[in-house]
Amino acid sequence: MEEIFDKIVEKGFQLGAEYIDMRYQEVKSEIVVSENGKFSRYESEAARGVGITAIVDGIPGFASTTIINPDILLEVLNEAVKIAKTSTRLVNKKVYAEIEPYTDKKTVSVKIDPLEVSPNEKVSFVVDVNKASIISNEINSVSTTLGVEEDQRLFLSSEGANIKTKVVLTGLRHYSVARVNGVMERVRDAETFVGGYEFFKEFNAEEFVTDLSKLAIDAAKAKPANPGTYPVVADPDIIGLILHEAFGHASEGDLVASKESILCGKLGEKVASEYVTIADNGIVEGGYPVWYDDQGVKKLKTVIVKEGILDGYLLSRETASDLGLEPTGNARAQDFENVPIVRQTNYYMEPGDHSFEELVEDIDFGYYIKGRGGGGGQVDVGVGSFIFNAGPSYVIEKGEIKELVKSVSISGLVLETLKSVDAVGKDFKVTTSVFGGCGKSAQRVRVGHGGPFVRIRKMIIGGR
Amino acid sequence: MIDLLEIGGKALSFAEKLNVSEVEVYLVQNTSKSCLLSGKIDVVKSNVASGIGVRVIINKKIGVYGNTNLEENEVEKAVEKAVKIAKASDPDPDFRELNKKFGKSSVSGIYDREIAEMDIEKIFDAADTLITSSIDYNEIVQPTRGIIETSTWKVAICNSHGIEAEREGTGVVTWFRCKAKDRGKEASAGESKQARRWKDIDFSEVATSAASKAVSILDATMIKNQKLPVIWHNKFTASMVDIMFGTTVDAYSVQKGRSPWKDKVGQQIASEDFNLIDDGVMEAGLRTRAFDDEGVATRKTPIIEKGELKGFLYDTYTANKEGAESTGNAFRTYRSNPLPAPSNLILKPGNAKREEIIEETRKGLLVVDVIGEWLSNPISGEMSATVVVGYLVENGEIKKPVKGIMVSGNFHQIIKDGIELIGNDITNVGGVYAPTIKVSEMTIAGKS
Repeated sequence: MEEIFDKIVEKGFQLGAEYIDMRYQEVKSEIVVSENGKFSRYESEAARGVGITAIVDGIPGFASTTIINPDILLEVLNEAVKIAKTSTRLVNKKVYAEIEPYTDKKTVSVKIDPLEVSPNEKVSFVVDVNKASIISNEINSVSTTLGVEEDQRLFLSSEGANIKTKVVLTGLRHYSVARVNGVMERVRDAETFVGGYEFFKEFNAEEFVTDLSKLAIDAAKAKPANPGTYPVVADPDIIGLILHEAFGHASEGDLVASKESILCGKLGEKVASEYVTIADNGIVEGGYPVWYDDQGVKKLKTVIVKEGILDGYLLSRETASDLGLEPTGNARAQDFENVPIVRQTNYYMEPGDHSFEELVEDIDFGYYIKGRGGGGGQVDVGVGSFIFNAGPSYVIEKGEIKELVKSVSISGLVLETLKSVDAVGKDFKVTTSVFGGCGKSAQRVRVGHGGPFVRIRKMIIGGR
Repeated sequence: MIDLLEIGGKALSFAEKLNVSEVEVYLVQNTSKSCLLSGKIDVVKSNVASGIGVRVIINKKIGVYGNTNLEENEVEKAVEKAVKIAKASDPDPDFRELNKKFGKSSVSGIYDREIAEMDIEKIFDAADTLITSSIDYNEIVQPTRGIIETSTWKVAICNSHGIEAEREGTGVVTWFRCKAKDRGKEASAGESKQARRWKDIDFSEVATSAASKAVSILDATMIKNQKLPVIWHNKFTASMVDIMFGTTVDAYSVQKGRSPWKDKVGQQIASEDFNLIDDGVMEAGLRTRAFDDEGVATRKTPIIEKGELKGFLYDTYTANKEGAESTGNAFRTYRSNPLPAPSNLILKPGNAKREEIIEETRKGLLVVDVIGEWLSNPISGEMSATVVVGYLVENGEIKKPVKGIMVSGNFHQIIKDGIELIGNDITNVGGVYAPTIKVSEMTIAGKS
């Protein structure tokens, strides 16, 4: 690849480009699914390709291909240069903040390559786990998925960068549908390990799925929460989700530069209560490892909110220069077919000093909101409004955790929500997922999120 | 362009040497050109992507493998990998055979030369139209984000029963958001549109719609918890139809016990004026094609007629399992096994004009754009959505904009006895087409 790249740079410069980078990527992934105690399906795939960015006179052009040979790559380069040149009519020149070009090689530790484990072994493991989740005749339907992904990337730039990375994820996803007296309830959850198949030696998969089945049955029997505004204690899953969706996106430099974000122009201002500190960090235990972004910028820890005060944004090379700040290593592309845009890596709230009991004991009536069993969320970054489906949750009454309620939806305006945080717990967790990711501008990237248990004085609970 | 059928033929003969019972090869090549906006035009890109999916059957054991690499030795490796996966799988007693009968329906409006020959300049002009039209609408509007993407694709399917077919299609998608800023207040809103032909999208209309929404909600306020009649703007209806029926009317979900409609064929599940059909051959329909991903002819399939559940959507596998006939609804990518799914899912329009529906409302809520609606539960029918563009309707007139509130209710109950009026203004969100409707009562969660 390096040799071809030298030729591409030479040719690109002849055509008038001042900067060229080439991203080669090879992704392999597998899922093995078992449903209702039986083998269901096995999907395996590989994709590889090359994307070339050429900058002519401050204007980028991008083209990609899955067909890789020197002639085709030169054609792709030509296309990228042509796009850049055509773009001068309407695209404003960009300035790319200076960076250090790194030469590096990073890979996660993998003891057992999950793609090399025999298909037979994976199939029988998933089917056994799935069978274990059928704990009673109240369980109507169950589905278990084993997921594996290996993502290898090579970044080469005309500035001299040469960065190779490899990330392997191994995970298990499960959902159980319970039917009790005609009432159906579905709960799902997933656990992902950054590394290889050794995960399943440690992780108690059967306990994980039987717990979900129990939860589905309990939730089917439970009453729904009462719609309204309440004080809540939110668990790390749900805090991570709120922060990522409702605040993280608003802190993305492109949305700030385009003035779309509610955080635009608010650096140095109070955006949350003093108990809130928020960071985006490329390397954090449990999270998705990002050593460098897809522009070759080293990803370090970026503090976004420090004790309630907005302290920074997530930036690419061009948004950094737009805003007069330093790049933070947050330009990420879904794959070789896409241009890097500003994305989060692992976004979380820093822990505080309260125990879980201390968070609950001051609440006269409210809810303990749990992420497990829920799924997804959405937000309007311009307003900061959010809505999420949490999982089955609990009533808090007179400082104590009481009965389970069905899955609740929560919503609010994020700045108001974060300002009403009045206590932050000390237990802390960040997670990622091989089964999902974060979507923006039609690109999906793996992210991590989490935080501590957090008490929020006002949260809207929807009637479900 | 690569000769997909030639590669498919080679893969077939290689697989047959490996003693498989049956084999099917699915190939795709896609060329797309797109433009990304963030305030201004950001970047334009051009992608060429290919893929091969091999499905082999060995004594009812199924193996599927997908790869983007179409080089000859890689194609052989893909077949070998599929065979390996098949051998590791448990036999599926419900699997009978791959499709033996090729069929092709007459369809139109799904291949647009203008898109196939798209020049980057034209995409620029459209992007420019989005930006300038939004600013022209009102000077307090700033464009924030958007996408224009055109694609041209070719799909080839061949199998060991002699099926060998190729089809082409085109599509265009646009999505645009802008922000309005005035008197220290800010609001943002968006609009999107998907079509098969370039001429079917009016970029100026898309931008104006987004801009007018953003301006109209500047003074939005929260309202109190209450119960109100709710008018669902056509796009909101289409999203809800998608969420509630998109993954519950295919035979696979039904057979797996994941659909609330299981065992309900022949029953009245909605009111008399509720008609839902799957139309695989709709003129210029977003998911229209002459044959499905297994080479079965596409067609129209009624799902709900006058409120009565008529049936489900099948691919070859689910049809064989029940002794039914495939409805031509197999969908797959080169990476995945085919599954039945809706093609163009249409909630039939009624007679009411949207203005009339509003005029007839003494007090209610008009919901235009929401977020989080996809978190609703298609099994229980419980739905909730946060309103981002919505207005109170009083005495037949659109009054003040609202924000930060959540509407909730039970969709299954709503279609049974909650729909008061069905509009005549059908629109699409992806392959789902629906009109504006008026629902008699929903729960509004806002201020207590």
